[in-house]
Amino acid sequence: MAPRFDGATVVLSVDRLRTVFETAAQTVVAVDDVSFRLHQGEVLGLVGESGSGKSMTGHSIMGLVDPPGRIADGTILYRGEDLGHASEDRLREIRGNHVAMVFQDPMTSLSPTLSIGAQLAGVLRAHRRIGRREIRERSVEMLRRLDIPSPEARLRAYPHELSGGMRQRVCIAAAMLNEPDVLIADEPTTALDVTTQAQILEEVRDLCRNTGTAVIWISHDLAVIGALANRVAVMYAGQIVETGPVAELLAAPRHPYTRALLSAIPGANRGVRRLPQLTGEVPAIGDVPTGCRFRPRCARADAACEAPPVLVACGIGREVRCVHPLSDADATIDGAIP
Amino acid sequence: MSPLLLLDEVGRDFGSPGALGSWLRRGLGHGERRIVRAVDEVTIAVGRQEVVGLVGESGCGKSTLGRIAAGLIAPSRGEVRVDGVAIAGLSAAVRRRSMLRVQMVFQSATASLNPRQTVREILLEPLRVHRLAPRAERDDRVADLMRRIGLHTGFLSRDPHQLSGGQCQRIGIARALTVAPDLVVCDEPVSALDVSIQAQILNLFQDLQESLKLSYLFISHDLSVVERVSDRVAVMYLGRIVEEAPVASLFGRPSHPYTVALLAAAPRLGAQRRVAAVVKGERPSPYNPPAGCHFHPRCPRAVELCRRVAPERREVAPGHWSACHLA
Repeated sequence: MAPRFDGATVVLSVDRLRTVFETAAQTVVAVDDVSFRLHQGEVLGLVGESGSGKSMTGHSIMGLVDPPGRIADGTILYRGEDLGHASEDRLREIRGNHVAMVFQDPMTSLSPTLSIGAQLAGVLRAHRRIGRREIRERSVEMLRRLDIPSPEARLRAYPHELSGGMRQRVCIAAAMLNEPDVLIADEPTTALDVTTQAQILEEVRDLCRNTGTAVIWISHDLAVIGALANRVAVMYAGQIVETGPVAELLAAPRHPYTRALLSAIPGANRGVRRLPQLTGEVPAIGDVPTGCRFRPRCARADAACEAPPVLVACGIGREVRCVHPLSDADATIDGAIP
Repeated sequence: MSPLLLLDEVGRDFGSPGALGSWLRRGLGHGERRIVRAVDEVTIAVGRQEVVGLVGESGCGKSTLGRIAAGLIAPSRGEVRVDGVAIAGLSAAVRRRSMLRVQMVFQSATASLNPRQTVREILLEPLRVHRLAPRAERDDRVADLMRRIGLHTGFLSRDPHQLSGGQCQRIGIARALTVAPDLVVCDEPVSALDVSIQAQILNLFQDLQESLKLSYLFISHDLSVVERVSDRVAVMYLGRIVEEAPVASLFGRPSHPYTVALLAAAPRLGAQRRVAAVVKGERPSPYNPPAGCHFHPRCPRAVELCRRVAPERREVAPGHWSACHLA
């Protein structure tokens, strides 16, 4: 079957997104100056540690930021339509139909009191008039595509009767039922076993290839992103610090933080006795350093880093937010990180 | 010489209601309760200054085995031996002394620290309860521990909620070390941490092992973590150890099909966009494990024998054991 998409159409474009949390005491910037474009059929990996703003970026796109949080600046365009100025009705039409999200913990997104079949039917009925038989056929078909054994029987099951991996597959099935243009997946496999995770990654990859759905895959795990994504954006303290095609970025990172993250992966350093480690911790979002936010933990930092760096191009399709970016020569992961 | 810790044919069931419970249930017409065999006759030893890694997926019984090793729960069958002495045969006082030599570090550092104690109180408590050091020396012991785990003594007056996840885990480690154990059972100690913090804590475990000559039983679902810290690795599946080998041998020449599948499923850098050899099917319910080899319904190589007979473990290479008919 020929793919129904050309790969050049931009389905989602996020420009200078800034999400803040305002309280009487202080204003905290959770997402700061985040921009990216998502093409049809593409998987963008959004990587970062806790507090990097990666989940909040996903929630902002879905319009799921609750007060005191709000989108303070920037635009989110879905096929050219500004979601920031869309009415609540229009947003509801888009959410779950054109742009869908899968969360880390399937138990919080599934209702414990409804059967799987009823929940999937709800997803279909929310967006169009559809007969019972078609609901059943499409639900069974989607569960089967996600490799759920005896899907007809599963429709009658309740979430507590399924294993964690099975529940997460039901959530992905629900998100994919309306064949959305964009799927935002927030650490959906983090809580799962590796064999289950491998199955789900495989299925998501197939679905993108066959339906043209574009995916934003949010994860702290660079190895998972490496296995799944076409492009990667690395976030640190609310900002994208590096972005580029997955193979190039992982092989030769430009930002010192990306290299440090790669070096810290236990499996990437076979034969090295001690893991190269970063000192200190990710700054709390209310307490980010001035200038380059990675400066206090960076061995390359000097006076030039006291001014906030901007994203600059550093190769084809690559950008880095660093005044002292790494070259190919010092980008290798060899444990020699100072 | 007997190993520091030996779990000899230990098994553990859950859901067994006990004699009185059974009688009551029968009397009320409830029938027998379902029993899950969380650990099924497992033998594993940890030597002095040795790190034994225990890997497996959720529900395989690795945490239950860890808790048996640390003396937190008693096995339903089999024996726990410390230095060759069976723990169950000892008097309560002697057993308590003996088990001080085995301590535990938990996955959720924040949940395993008492939120109403300061860090100082958390670290002093084991010394006080077990009357391990003269009162005057206790503060020095605690200060020394803080130095070893890489935290400033200024943290002693803080409450756990004022610490980050990584700092909490350092305190969890320090608490396990207060009583100067020989063996530390580490149950998923870095799973909840960010990668950069995980690297710091893994390095800390390595440093402490060398400086304090510790042994670890290191439990994790993460193969790359286990590979990094272990001398020897045991792989668990549905309550049984299916393979056990020196680390290089296990990762270099895995013998059991389940180990092979686990290694293939783990995402690794440098193996981008490869087609994963995926294990098909769900893990069977531990209430009703398959007959014969527990892995046979998902095993690509299963033959008739695997469906009927549970495989005994065999030595397939020096020190490399595998419980597979086809190994």
